[in-house]
Amino acid sequence: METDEVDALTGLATYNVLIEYLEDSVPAEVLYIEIDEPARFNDAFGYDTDKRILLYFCENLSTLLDDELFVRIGTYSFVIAKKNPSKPGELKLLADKIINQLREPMNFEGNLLYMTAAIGIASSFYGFYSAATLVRQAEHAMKKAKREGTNRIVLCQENRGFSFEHELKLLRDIPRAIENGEIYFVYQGQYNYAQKAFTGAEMLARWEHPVLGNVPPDIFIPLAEKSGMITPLMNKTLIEVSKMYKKLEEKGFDDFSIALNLSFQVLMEESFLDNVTFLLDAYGLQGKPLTFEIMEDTIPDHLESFTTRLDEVKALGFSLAVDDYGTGHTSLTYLLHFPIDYLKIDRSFVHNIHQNRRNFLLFKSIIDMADALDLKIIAEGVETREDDAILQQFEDITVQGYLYCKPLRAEALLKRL
Amino acid sequence: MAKTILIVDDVGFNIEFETKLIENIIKETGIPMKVDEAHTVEEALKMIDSNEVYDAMIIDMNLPDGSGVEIAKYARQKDAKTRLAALTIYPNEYEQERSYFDLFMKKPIMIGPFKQNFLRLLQIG
Repeated sequence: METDEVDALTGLATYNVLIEYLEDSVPAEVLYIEIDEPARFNDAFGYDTDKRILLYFCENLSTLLDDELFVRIGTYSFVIAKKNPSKPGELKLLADKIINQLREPMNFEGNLLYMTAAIGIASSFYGFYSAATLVRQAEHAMKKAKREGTNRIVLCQENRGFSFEHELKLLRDIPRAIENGEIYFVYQGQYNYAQKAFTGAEMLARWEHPVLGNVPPDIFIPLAEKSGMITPLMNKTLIEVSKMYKKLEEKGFDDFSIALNLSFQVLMEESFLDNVTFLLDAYGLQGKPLTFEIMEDTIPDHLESFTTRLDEVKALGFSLAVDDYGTGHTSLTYLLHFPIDYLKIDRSFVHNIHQNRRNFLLFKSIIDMADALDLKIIAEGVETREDDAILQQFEDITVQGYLYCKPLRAEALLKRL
Repeated sequence: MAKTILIVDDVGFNIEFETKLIENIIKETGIPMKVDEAHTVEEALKMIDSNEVYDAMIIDMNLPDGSGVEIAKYARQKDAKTRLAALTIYPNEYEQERSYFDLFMKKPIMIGPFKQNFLRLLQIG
């Protein structure tokens, strides 16, 4: 066999074999498993302990397999693929067995070691995908499992309705969609308790594709990033904002702030400042209350060029918000170093806050911290009266969610104000 | 003498964007320019008939009543010196038509590349 078909260390098949194996086979399921840092044992037991642990792990796992394909896909990660499972989630049974096996201490050269792992499973039952997409989905689910704790299993059950082939079509259609208005914008109002009024809105992109229908942003934004279309999309967004400000001013809302999502990739692009400066100037956006929202999980811990760029953006007159605050893995220190104005507390803290004491305490501690750092708070995902009643204890915060305002077209929002 | 430019596009958003970019270029280079606009092949041909020779045109390839190539041919007939740019999302689809134009510009319009290409079109800098 060729070397690109066999893994040198374990003798297992490689990614190439996996893709060939899965190609054209529907249904199929993929289990993605990653062992948590076996290298941590190297200090105690010798430099190549991780490699020996991997071999031990592979040998043990093999005893659980039937006709599945077992593949080494990364340093500490493996894939098990099954063709024609009888029902969705068949690999879940295998995953349970693997986790049970891991819970037993491993007798490693006379020492008892505990290994942990994360498992993600994707299945073609939930929509037809190319082999590569299926593997990517399983990997994505594995990462989610890892975030949830140790020895967790996550099944990717989302049927996004978009196959790999659809994605190719979407990639090709994005430029046209930006130009002809298939990609359009909606605004979700943000309600301030102290002022008892909508004081701003978040602007969100939507895509109504003529053939594929409504394409969610979590599908098309990454595609736009991949295809270099994210900058034209941001340009279009800012131009659209300028028109919205004109309408707001006509109605006498001079201080109404508008927030738009900014991808880390766009922000760090070399031409970003030139572009934004041109748009501010050409479309009369100077001095307007505009906020850029940056998702927390894209914020790097320490990156001088990032801090510098944020300072430059602030100097142009923008405010900055951290979006989905509380979901990322970034250290708290960035709040001290980055020139941030708003924290948007993620919906997971807000949901059921009236029943969930833990969520309430976390929310309250974020508010206390924000006060100390002089940051303004926007709570996301306010959807029930019960949660709203609890949040109203925090008088000077702003809330966003379906209870107050769903995302609306510009004209509809103007009517609501 | 001011440079005369004709922009042909059926999408108002594009015409506005291009005009603002050209205004920005005027500011940066100090070269006076006058910009006309047309939204269809028919309008463009009329503009070519009723005006002095344009220094340059930026022509959207996909117009409601025909192709930008018709405009390019017509403009070339009137004066071979007019500099012609095609504006399109899919430049690869127009390999056959390349010879009618001095350069191809890609949509959606990107600020930096548009400015560079526009200066190339006018043979400035």
